[in-house]
Amino acid sequence: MAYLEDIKRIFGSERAGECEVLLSGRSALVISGHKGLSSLSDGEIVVRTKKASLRISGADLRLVQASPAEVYIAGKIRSVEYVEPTGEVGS
Amino acid sequence: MRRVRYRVSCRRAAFLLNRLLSVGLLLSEIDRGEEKLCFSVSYLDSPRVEAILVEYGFEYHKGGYLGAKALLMRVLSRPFLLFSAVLAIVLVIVSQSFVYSYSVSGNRLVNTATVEAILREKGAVGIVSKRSLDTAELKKAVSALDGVSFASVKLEGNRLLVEIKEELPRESPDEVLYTPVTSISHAVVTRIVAENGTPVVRSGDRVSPGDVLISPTYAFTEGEAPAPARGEVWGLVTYEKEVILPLFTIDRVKTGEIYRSRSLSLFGKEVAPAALPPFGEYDLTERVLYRGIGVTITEKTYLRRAAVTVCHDFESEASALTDTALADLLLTVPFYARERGCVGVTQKKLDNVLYIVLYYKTEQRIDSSFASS
Repeated sequence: MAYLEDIKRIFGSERAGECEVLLSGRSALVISGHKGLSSLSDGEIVVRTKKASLRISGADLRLVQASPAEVYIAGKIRSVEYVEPTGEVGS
Repeated sequence: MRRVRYRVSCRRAAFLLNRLLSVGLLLSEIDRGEEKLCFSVSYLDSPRVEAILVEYGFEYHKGGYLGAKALLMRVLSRPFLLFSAVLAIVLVIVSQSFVYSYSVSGNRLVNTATVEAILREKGAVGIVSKRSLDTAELKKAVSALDGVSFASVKLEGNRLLVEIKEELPRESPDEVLYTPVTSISHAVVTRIVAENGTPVVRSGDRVSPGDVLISPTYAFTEGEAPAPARGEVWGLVTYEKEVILPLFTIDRVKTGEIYRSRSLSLFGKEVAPAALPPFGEYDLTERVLYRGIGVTITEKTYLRRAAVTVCHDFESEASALTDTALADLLLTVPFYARERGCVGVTQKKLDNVLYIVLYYKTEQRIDSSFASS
């Protein structure tokens, strides 16, 4: 993901953050810089990041591959949203 | 890389995944079912996975390796490699159905070339298909050869082995020889033991080489019948040697005078011969001084000899001359008769010449049957 380096350069490292989310179409999602998984089900996968959790909703969601650096999710993705630790939904 | 698939019974899939990810594992083909989680890891990572599963008390099932499938995919992705492997297998299979060489063993009297001719005639030489090879027929043909008692023809790999057991050589019937026992030397007969045949000499008789000692006959009242002559005859044999020592002899002795000359040869041809010495009698020695590029330089050394009349002292030289002559005499005596004899020496002077005659008398076997054995 060399282009992420470009993104950091354009937005600045403070804005870019440490977690990158790449959504390819509606069926493939790559999250790098995650901190683990919170929940795992067909309709929802919650991935922890440094400051918040990332909730991926959809149908037939599958964790294709996972490593300490990245998770690869496939399925029919409906939404990707940040969930604050208090439970609020972030932008 | 080979991969191992795990099927773990667990309700908290996220918890288990976090534990596994926390130790740096790479999980793939993750499949979450009802109260179970399936995933694959590298074969090298499997000990760490199992350690975590055991630590947290998860029940798990270790699936088959994915290596075979991966290997198959890798092989299929290399068509040339696949083609080569298939070709090699086909070649091995095809090569196993041919015979390339043969060996003939066990024969000592039966000629190998004869056996090879049979094999060639039956088409078993060269590259031959195993199907077309009739070992039974080959065996029959080889067994029919003269001197072959048994033949075994078998295939061993790509080789035809022909083993031959030969017939034992026919023993010639005992030939009865009606030849007499004769004397092999001049002797006086001392003992005669005729085991078969009729003795024709008696103790004290003087015999010469070739004289019949035991005749091949057997005498009975109605006449004689042939019988193989056999027996032992002993006799007193005298070996003799005479040496002569004149009072004066003319010896060619070295005078000490030396003459050297050199010759030059080109490619083996003498172009500058060595000069001859000014004296007539000499010993000649040659030494090559230089040899190279066709040139040879040889030095010839002439040692002059001159005829000198030597006066011998009979008293002082007779003893040494006798010892030398005795040693020479004993060399003519057969080894089996050397220790039983006695030595006799006679000397006489006649016309300024000393004659020394040595005798060695011994009792020994004189029959021809002993000599031939």
